[in-house]
Amino acid sequence: MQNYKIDLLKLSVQDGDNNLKIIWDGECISKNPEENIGKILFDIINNNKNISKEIILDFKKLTFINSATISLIVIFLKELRFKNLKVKIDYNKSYSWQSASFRILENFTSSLDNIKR
Amino acid sequence: MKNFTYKFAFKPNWNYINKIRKKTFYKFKRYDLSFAEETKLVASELCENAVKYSKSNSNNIIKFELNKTNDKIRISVYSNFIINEDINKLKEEINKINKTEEPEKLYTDRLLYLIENINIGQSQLGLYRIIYETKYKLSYKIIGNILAVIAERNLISVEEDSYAKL
Repeated sequence: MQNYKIDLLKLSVQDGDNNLKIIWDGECISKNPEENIGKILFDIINNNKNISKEIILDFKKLTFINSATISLIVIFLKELRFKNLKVKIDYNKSYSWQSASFRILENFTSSLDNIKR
Repeated sequence: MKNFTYKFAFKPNWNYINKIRKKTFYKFKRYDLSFAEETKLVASELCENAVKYSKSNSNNIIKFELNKTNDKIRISVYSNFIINEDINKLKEEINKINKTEEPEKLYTDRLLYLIENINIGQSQLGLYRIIYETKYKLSYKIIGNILAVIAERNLISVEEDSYAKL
């Protein structure tokens, strides 16, 4: 497992047999998340040319996310789609803010099928 | 819970926003968690916008105000914007957001727009999140060179939790 610390956020990457899980723990509060969180996320998929597993974005331990990071995740989802990687968004449905923030991203991944690079 | 007004003035520096997030959440910790979380989100998004778009010179100050009355919460953020184009764009976005009867569709459309027009720092996505994820309503005021962005919601449906009532 690889761990990264960005401000109040800890990102852990678990490389399993059938999936690659990215666990988000803490708060996403970066002003320019593309410069730190984004670099880590894109490195994970770009530096692993044989990657073909399902990517799980696990937000269950997240306590806050700003809209700049939501924007970054949307761009990342688009990149995963272009690489034909299956994506699963995991969040805590009983936690109302997580439900509000991530349900729409979960639905959004299906609308990416029609997006062209 | 008693009525109160909390004011905080700060230079346009990102690091102050975390203090506002924590303070806002703390002020409403006696209410149900979802209400405290959504109020924290609104305070954070409005302050982030103000820092991103306001003049960064040493004399510029952003003013944050959190006001609770018997039946209403109001969050106001006052800032000095860099250029009129930014103010006009923001006014246009708030007007569009307030007119919608389908906040989820508006938010999804914004995400799709973002994919085609990548500019993470200038997405204004925070305003769309506020209208979709919370019960706050947005408005704005222009006072001289100062722009005030205001978020308000009523407290009628919000209960203090049972522990706090003891």
